Amino acid sequence: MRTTFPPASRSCVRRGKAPTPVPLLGSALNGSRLRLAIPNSRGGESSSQVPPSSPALLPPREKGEQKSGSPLSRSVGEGAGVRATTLPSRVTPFPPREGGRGVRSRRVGLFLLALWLALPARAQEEGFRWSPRQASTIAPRVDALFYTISGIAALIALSVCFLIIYFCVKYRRGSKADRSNPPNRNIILETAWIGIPVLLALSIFVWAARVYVDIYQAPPGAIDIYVVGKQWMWKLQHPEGQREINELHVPIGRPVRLILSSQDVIHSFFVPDFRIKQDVLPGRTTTTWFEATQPGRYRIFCAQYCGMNHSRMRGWVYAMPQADYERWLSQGSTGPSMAAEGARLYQQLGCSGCHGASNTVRAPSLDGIYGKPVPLSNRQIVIADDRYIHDSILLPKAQVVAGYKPVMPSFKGLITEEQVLELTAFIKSLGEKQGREEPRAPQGGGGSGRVEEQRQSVKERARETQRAQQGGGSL
Amino acid sequence: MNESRDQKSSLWATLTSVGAVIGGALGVSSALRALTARKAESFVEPEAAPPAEHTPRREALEEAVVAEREEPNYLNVDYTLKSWLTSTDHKRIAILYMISITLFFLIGGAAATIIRLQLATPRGDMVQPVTYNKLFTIHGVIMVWFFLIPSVPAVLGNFLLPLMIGARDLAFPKLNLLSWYLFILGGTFTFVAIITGGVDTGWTFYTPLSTTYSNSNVLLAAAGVFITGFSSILTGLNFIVTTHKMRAPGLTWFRLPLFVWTTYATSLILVLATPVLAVTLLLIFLERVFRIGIFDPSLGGDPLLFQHLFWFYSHPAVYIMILPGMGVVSEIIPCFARRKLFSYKFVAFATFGIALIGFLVWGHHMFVAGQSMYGSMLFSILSFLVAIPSAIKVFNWTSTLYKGSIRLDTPMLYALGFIGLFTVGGLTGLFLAALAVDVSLHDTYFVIAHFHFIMVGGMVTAYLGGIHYWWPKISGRMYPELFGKLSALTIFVGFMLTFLPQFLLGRLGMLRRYYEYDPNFQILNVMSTAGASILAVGYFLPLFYLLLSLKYGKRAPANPWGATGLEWQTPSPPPTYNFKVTPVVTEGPYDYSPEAAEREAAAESAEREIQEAGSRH
Repeated sequence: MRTTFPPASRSCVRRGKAPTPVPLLGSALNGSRLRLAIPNSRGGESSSQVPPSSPALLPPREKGEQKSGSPLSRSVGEGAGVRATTLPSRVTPFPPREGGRGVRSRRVGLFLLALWLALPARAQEEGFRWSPRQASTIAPRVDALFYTISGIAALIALSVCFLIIYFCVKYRRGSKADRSNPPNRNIILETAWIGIPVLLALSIFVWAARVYVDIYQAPPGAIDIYVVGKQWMWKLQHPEGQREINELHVPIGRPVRLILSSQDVIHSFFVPDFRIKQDVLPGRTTTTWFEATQPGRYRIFCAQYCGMNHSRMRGWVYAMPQADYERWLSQGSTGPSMAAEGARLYQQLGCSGCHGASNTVRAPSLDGIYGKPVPLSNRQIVIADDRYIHDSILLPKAQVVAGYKPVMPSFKGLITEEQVLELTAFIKSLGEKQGREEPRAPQGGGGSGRVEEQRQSVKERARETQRAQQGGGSL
Repeated sequence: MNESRDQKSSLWATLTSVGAVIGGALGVSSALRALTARKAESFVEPEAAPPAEHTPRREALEEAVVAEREEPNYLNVDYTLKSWLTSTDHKRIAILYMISITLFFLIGGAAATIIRLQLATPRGDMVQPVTYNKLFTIHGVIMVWFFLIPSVPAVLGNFLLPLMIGARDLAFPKLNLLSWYLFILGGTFTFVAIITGGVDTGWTFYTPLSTTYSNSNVLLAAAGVFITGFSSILTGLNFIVTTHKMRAPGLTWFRLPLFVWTTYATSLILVLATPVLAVTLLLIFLERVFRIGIFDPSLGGDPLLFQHLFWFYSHPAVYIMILPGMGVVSEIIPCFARRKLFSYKFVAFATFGIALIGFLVWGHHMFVAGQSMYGSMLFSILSFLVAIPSAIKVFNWTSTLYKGSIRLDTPMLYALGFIGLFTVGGLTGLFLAALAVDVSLHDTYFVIAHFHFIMVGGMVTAYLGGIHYWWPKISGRMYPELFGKLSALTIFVGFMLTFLPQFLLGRLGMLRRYYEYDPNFQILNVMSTAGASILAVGYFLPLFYLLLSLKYGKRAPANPWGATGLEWQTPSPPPTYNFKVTPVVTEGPYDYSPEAAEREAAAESAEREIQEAGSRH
């Protein structure tokens, strides 16, 4: 299974230029009346066909027949060729209203049914399912717990219902049942039906809490991806600088940590097939993580009601094999990396004036600070994680480092949420440069080497930019 | 955004709710007409009756009829509107509440109807996004604060609490009337907020959406809820004092019916939790109007603080919305099973267990909100523990049926339906208390289905069961039994069909507050909408036949169910002062005997057989 994307899709989202969220609910929605849909999604020859330039509608995976050729040329060819075969199969069971009716639609329906039966891949991707796909490492563990609780709940509910019906029949007024000496209390029974549920509840609690700890804390070595939620879109940025809107490309088999922040109201990042959900708050960062196990396309939703177009704040995760991911990363013109962009801001905003490596009188040096404990003036010690750095930029007076005066001005309202994240990425890169062991050890396959190389060179560049600008600034 | 379309659709939503109100008003006016008809009957007829031949038998009969008619009760003491609006009689205030919450139920139900119709198709064909958001906000605000919270406490509690403890009224009758006026004032604010543009924040008013980003009537709606909160506080205070100070001689705590226990526990929650809501809404006001940074991070506030404060009230509020229902069921089941309630003390203490632990579990609404991992664990374990007292109650109700003499009259059908639906609602709560599972289910339709099972399947079913059970006492008339059973079954079937598919939808990842969805989910949504239409029929049935029974219903005796409890020892409807003589209590509650009930039933059927045999001869 290969995943390819035409250049059109990337160029419109890569640099964050696409102003309109991309339609996301499949072709049936597209053909009809998504108000925010890009204009040409209405313009196919027939309503069930979709122009290849619409990124969200392209087949997430092909049948594996194309093995060679550059990704660019391949995807262009596919966009045209696959449309006739694969796309109709992905038309939903509820075709759009303006689609053909009568005999034609019935034939199309039969054809769709045949395809639906013939293509397991289709069944996996679309169509009615009784349970969501298990596409992350955590999903089977959550599901095991889900089904266990379902079993216990069904057992209790059915026995209560059975007893009620049984008693109502047996002891209906006028029946010949024995009613002598009805008991009014039974301490053994009470103890049993308090004790057993307590034990059951506690064991479910322990089990659920253990899985939760693993959902809450990302394993070391995860790829960090920065996510900004705003009414009503997701902006995602890879450390290498690739930006995406409402789309996220990730490799399978590697943990991916999302560092989430909101520019306006509370949102919530939800990928049902990964069983992860995390609220995205304004003014602070939260994190969640996942490790995709199967290549494919998975829906992103905003789960926390966030205003008018909450229902349209959706997107896709594209999980792809490592090699494809790297190809994806290296394709097209990427802008400067997040850290480099952060370095530029670091200069532009005058951070280096106080925080510079040679200038530690007014402010602490930030070299190697990421992930280290920081003593505060109120005698607390905090770990300098994403949230700490984020807060220190926006609310510098909240947690002042011991030995320094609270002189730093707040940058709240002066810089965007994305810029905060870029600065954070830059500060992180300072830490990694300072001889700390590279935490992102390549996992599985030799394919990741290039990414690491790229990351290193990105950091190098960022560092150099900083040094050069610092030198200039001090004169 | 197409503005004219948007206006059109919000106009359409407004029209629907206005229509609902007019429909409700028509219902009320017909109820009043029924009452006036009785007035005409009782006052005009004796004068018009010509003094014809005087056979002693007929004279005695007439005297008996007149005596029955002129027996003063709380309904026939005065018929003017003024006498109703200025009455401090707890029974009349209960009727005022009953009429007003029915009107609010119609508004909330109209909103729910449009929501379900909208969700019948995946593409959101009916109303605009903004309108949809306003509709679910209206539905939530109205149903929670203007229907569910006052439903059993303010209607049945007001009516029954003094009767059940042998008192002549509540401790503070004028305060009671003030509560109703505050309720109506708050309701008016909210209603004005709805018809002048609506609110689109969801009933949870999450910040900073509500304080900074929403352009709708947030303040007006919040003011309505704020004022209504004081109504709740005053009612709670009144009930607490009444329960403590006004019990009849001999009525010790452990002789109290469980309805009094649950009403008392509910009042404690009302008094302790509602002020927090008031403070929270006040803070919203300060931030929205004066831009004082409390919740909005761009002003230096903390958005999670709002969620903590809001759920500190709103989770106990869930127990305000279910405990009284449990009380109703604890009255109905012993009566129709002719049995003492199994383990009275365990059920009573379980009530307090729920009320107490209910204050400590608010954080389970915030497992994915960004609170600390260990905080979540603490809230999770407490949430599991709060399920235990509910389980105790369910097991004890079920055991009460054992060796009973069971009759499945309408109130009993509602009560058994309550146990079934509440059990499903409670057990699905386990999924949401389990941390890892909640992460995937939070904010999906699974949560919607879960709390509708508790609040609608539980509380509304219990409320209707209670209304049927005490209808003879409240109105002095019997409701039609056949229609009653039909409504109970319709509601049960409609409810199951509406909300069971939503569990599956939630598991599949359909999110709440979405006005359009993945077309693959349509089949389940259509099932849900179909169920909702059955449910609507089920809810309209009692509205019609109960109103009709005011005029055409059989006159009710003082104790039609042969129930124990002080409220049955006074005429139906009770006189204004409730009891001619203050009763003295010497026994515990639920002094029923299944064997005696069987003997009576056997004697009755034997008598019927003899009569039939006689008539055949």
